[in-house]
Amino acid sequence: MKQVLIFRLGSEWFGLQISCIQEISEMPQLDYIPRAPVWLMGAMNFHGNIMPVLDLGAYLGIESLMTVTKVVVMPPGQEGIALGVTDVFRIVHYDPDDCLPCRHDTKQKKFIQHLYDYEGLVVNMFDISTLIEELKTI
Amino acid sequence: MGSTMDMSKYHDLFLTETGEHLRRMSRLTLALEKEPADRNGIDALFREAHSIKGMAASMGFDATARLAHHLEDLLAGFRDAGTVPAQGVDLLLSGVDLLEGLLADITAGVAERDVSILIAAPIEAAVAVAVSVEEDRSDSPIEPVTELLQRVQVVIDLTADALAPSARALLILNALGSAGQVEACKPTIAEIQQGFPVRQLSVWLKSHCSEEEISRTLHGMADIKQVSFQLDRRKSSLRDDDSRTVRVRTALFDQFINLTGELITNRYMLQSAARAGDWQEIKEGLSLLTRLVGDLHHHVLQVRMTPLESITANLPRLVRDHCRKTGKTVNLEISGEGLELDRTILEALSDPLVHMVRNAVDHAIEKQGTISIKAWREKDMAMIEIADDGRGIDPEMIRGKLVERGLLKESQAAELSKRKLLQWICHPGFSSRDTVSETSGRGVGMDVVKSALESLGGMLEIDSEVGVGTRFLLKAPLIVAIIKILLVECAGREVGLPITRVLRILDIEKKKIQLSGGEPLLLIDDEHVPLYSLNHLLWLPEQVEASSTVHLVICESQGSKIGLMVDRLSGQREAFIKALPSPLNRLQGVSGATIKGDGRILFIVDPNALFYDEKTFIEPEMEAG
Amino acid sequence: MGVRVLIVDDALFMRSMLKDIFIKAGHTVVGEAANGDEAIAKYRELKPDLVTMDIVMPQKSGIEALQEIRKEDPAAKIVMCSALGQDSLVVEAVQSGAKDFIVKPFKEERVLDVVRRVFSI
Repeated sequence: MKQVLIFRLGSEWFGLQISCIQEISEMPQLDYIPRAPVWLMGAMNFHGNIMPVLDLGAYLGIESLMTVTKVVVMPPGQEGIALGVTDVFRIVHYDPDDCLPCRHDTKQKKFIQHLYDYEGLVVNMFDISTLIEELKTI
Repeated sequence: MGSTMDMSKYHDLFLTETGEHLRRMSRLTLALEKEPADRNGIDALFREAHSIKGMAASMGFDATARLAHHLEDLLAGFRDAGTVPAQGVDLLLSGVDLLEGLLADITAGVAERDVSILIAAPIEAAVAVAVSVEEDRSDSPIEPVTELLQRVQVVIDLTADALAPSARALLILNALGSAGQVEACKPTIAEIQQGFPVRQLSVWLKSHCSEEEISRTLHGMADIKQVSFQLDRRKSSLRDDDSRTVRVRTALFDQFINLTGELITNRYMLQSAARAGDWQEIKEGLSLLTRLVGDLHHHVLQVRMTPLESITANLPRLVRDHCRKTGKTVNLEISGEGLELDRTILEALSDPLVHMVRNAVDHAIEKQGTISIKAWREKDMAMIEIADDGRGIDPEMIRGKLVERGLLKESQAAELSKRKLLQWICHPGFSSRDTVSETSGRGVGMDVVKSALESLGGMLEIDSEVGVGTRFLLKAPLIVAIIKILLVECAGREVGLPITRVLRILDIEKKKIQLSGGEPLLLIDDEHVPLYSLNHLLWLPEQVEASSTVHLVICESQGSKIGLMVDRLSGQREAFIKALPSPLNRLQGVSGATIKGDGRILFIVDPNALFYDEKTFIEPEMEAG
Repeated sequence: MGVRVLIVDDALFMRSMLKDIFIKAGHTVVGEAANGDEAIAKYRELKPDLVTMDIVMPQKSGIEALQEIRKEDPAAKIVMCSALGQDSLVVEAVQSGAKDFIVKPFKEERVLDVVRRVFSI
């Protein structure tokens, strides 16, 4: 059975498969990236690698100026990027039978594969590959 | 030299190639130790000795040729016998050692040392020679990596009939003093002054001179049997690049020729376009030129690339000798030696690697075990893993020591994760000798290893499991990219500008700035230089406080001068430039980044590229879209 | 390339032998002295390029003469001549600034090697 990390962006809950995660850490000290788009919060020194931290809430247009307290680092081989999120909740087992379809009609929804009902909590299952593909075109 | 040809031009090539043959000989011999009846191995070794003999004879290095010939004879004997006896391995290795010594003599420009003992000796006696050679090697002091650049150990043997040898030793020290600073010697100066009967004098010299220059100071001195330099990798990092030769693969060389051809074509194209005033053509020509120069740069860097093997080839021998001394059985596995790195980086990695392998044999492995070295490439980084299946490092032991030594408070130490605890073995205050034997045994020079790596822009990761083993991962850049940067601040943010782009920096009074069409201008040396706010170019807010002076960085951009107004100039530094990972590599005008000593990241802004979208007639590269 | 040499030795035999070696090699022997004081006086007078200085001599010893000459002319090039078993004296001479030393009985090529070496540095 797959496991997902449930995290929060503003007041919405999202889920990310843990196979897409290398590390979850407290918000590190960030350094200025010149000419970066607003949704790039800054760069972090991740074990000697320069890794930009993306304000996922701002990128998705869910909530701007929200607080980011945790970063979710993607494993090597992905786009070298870390996702800044409002908070992380817990890692849960995920049963595809409990999935609900969702409509892809807004920018935000393009990144949501489907909805998942975790004990009554509506979790947006996040589609990381779409994000990575889109970042390559920016 | 009997030949009438001028052989001197082959001298460097001879040294390089013989060195390579010797490395292979050492490796093949060690393989034979494990499989003494391997006919192919014996044949391969024979061929190596044969090549050395041929080259040395043509160069007129008789002793080298004679010894190589002798080894050939030995090998022929082993081949007929169908196996290499254990003593045979020792003998072959002492032969390789002696050949290395001869090579050092030739490099230093001194007479070749005596080879007759080894040649004359029957196998048993020669083994005794071999053992004494080994002991000599292991006695050499381990110097910290950081100091090795200018430190040479010169060993002077006096003839057996030397008269007043202590006086001779003083004269030698005086003479060497003209080539550098004598840091220490054995016997000590006090002993010499008391008339110590010196037969061999070892001198540690801090010097900028080459071995050849150092030997020259002793030229013609009586009673000297031979001058040698401690055969040591440190020595080779000391010799500067210009005295060395580089071998270039034919394929790479062909690419240079092709590129040159393309550049010539490009020049004609630009010339004719300029004559015709065809701007479209000039534009295309310039973008082609940009690509060609980029290719050229890339290929030039390739020339400096050297396989990792050049620094790992000696490790099997090192492990063997260490095992013999400690009575342990260690199996060394090396893979990925074909990985190519810039030679400067390889040289800097060489000593750390030796330290770590030596540590693994001495401290990690108890009786028998395996050390494996694996190398591979990850993007622009070389990964070199050194793993052992020894006793491992107990993180709780480190935690205890940290508190005991007062390095951390108990509450701080309690919070450290295992990974962080392991990093402490690289702390200079931790890695002292007594700690090493008490805890599970790593630490000799680990601080040196770590700082050597970090100064290259690399890093060290440590993982260990008690009873399972320890794994060190060295990450180092494949190529060196050190540039000098100017640090500037805008709206409290710091960026670096490559010094190569900066013409000058100056502070001017604000009132000297004039306006033309709303754009600020400054008259410098009868030239109107347009001024731009770097804050504005970097999309940062302008400084609000009104200051009467303006800090300007004058740069060249697209062939004309521009002035960048910045809030503050905060110095210069040398920086290891890291290539930016995607998506950062698509930020227009940002060319790289460096990690500062405190771990903070500083981005490098290329003033030339800041303007691409605004004022250049060359289109930005396609990928920028 | 001839060097102007002052030979200092109390034994005429030694002086003659050295003189022959130098002359044969194309050097010039500008003077001879038989003790330390004489050596100092001749050095001032002749300003030779090289002095060969015996260590053990009556009255002033070679080492004292060496020290006094070097005090007046720190660039003086003085090579000591010693007999077997005088190691500690030679050490003292080298510490006092002797450029090199030769040990009796002299061998011709040894003597000439020393001259060559002293003048090549």
